[in-house]
Amino acid sequence: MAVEVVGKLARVTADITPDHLGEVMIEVRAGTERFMACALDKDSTIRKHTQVVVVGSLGGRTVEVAPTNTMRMPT
Amino acid sequence: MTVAVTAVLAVVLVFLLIAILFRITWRVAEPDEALVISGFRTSERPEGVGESMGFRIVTGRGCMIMPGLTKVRRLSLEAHESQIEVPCVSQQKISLSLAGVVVYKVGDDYRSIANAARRFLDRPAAELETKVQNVFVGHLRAIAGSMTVEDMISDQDKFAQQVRDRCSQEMESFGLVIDSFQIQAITSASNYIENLAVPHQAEVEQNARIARANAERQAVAQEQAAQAQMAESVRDTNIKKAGFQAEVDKATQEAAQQGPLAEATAQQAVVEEQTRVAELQAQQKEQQLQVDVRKPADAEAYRQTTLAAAGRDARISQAEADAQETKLHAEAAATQTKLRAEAEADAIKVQAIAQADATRLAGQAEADATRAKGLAEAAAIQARMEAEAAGIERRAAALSQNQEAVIAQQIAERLPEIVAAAASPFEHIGQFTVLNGAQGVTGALAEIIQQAGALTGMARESLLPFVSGNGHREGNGGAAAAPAEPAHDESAK
Repeated sequence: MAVEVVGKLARVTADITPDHLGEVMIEVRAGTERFMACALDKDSTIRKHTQVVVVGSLGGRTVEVAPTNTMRMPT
Repeated sequence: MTVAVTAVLAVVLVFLLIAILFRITWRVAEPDEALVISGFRTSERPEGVGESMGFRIVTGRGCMIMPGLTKVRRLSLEAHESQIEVPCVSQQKISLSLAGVVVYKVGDDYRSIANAARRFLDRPAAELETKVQNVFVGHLRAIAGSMTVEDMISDQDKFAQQVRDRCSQEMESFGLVIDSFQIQAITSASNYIENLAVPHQAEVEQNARIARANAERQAVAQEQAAQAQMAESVRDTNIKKAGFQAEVDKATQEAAQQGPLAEATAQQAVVEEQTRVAELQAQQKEQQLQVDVRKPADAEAYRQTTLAAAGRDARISQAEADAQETKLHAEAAATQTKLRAEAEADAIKVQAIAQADATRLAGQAEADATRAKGLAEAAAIQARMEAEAAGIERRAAALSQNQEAVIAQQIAERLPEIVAAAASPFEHIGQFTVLNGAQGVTGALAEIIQQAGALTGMARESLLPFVSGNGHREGNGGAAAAPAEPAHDESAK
C-alpha cells in the first residue's frame, strides 16, 4: 500500500527524529491519509510542517521521506 | 398481429429478464464501506496489490458478481469512537484518573481493509469498540506512567508521539487508523492539579494587590500634592489680600484721622486760650477776695482776739473773787456744824445715862415684886397642902370608921359614868322595835334596868366583896331610875 504513495509530496504533521517515527499527511485517492514516516538520512531531524517527498516504503504504513524545498504540491 | 405481439412481449420479457439479472448480479459499494467478495474468480489482483489474498475488495464503485458462486459482504469504513477511563500513576508516582477518547477507522488502503476484514468482518461494531478499548487502556496507562502531569496537560505533541510509538504497530495489524486520541480529563484525588495552580494564582493575586496598592499610593500622592498646591495658592492669595487690605485700611485710617486730628489741634488751641483766660480770672478773683474777705477777716479776728482777752481777764478776776468767797463760806459752815454736833453728842450721852438708870431701877422694882409674889404663892401652897393633908388625914380616919359610906359616896360620884357605860350597847341602836307590844317594852326596860343594877352590884362587889346590905340595893335602884329616862325616850321613838 505504501508503495503507491512513493514519489508523492507530503507534509510532516509530527516531528521525525532519529529515535522516533514521525507522521506525514499524504494525499491518497482524493483524500488524505496519515502515514508513519522516517527520514532518509537516519540521523537528521525533520520538523513539523516541513514539506517532504516520499522516497520509499518500509512496508506497512511506514514510508521514507526526504525534505524538499523546491517541489510544490500540484494545485 | 399475434406474431408481432408475441415478439414485443418476448422483447419485453427479455429486457425484464436482463434487468432482473443485472439487479441481482450488480453490487455497489457506498463511499463509507468496502465490499469483500470471495468465491468464484475473486483471486484477480486488485488494483495496485501485488498478490492475491483469496478475496476481492471493492471500494467506492460497483461490480458484477455471480450470485451463488460468490459471496459479498460489506465492511464499514466509517469512524468509531471509544471512551477510555483508566486509573494510572504518572511519572512522579502521582495517582491519577485519566479519561480519554480515541477515534479510529478502518484504513482506506487495501492492506488495512484486508487486515480488518480478516478480523472483524460480520462482527458487530460494539465488539470492535471493546477490543480497541481494552488495547488502549493498557497503552494509556503505560503512556501516563512515562509522562509527568504537567506534560499530559500541556505537551500534546509528546503525547501523540507516545501514542504513535506504542500503538501504531497493533493498529496496523488490526487494519485500523487512529484519527484522534485525546485525553479528556485528568483528575487527581490528592488535589495535585489544583495545587499546581496555587503558586501561580497567589503570584497573580500578589501582583494584583501590589499594582492596586501602587496605583492607590500614586493616586493619593497626586491628590495630596494637588491639595497642597491648592492650599499654597490659597495661602498666597490670602496673604496678598491681607497686605492690600492692610494698606487700604491704613490709608483709610489715616484719612479718617486727618479730620479729628485737625479738630483736636484746633480744640487744643482753644483750650489753651481758655485756660489762660481762666487763670487771669482766677488771679482777678484772688485779688478780689484779698480785698473783700481777707482784710475784713483779719480786722474781725483782731477785734475778737482783743475782746476775748479782755473777757478772759475779767473772768479770771471774777473766779478768784468767787473762790475767796466760797472758801470763807465753807470755813464758816464747818465751824458751825462742828459746834452743833458736839452739842448733840452731849445731849445723847446725857439721855442714855438717864435711860440706863431708869431701866435699872425698873428691873430692881420688878425683881422685888416677883420675889414677893413667889414668897406669897409658896406660903399659900404650903398652907393649902397642909390643909389637904389634914383633910385626907381626917377622911382616912373617917373611912377607917365607915368604909361603906365612903364607897357609896364614891359610887354616887361616879354613877353617871356607870350608867353611860351600861347604856353604851344602846348607843348605836337607831330604831328600837318591840314586837310584843307594851308588855315587850316593859320587859325590855326592866331588863336594861336590871342590867344596870347588875353593873352597879358588880362595881360594889369589886369595891367591897365582903359587904352585903339592902340600903345599897335601894340606893342603886333610885339612882338607876333617873338615867333610865333617856333610854325610855329612845325606845318610845
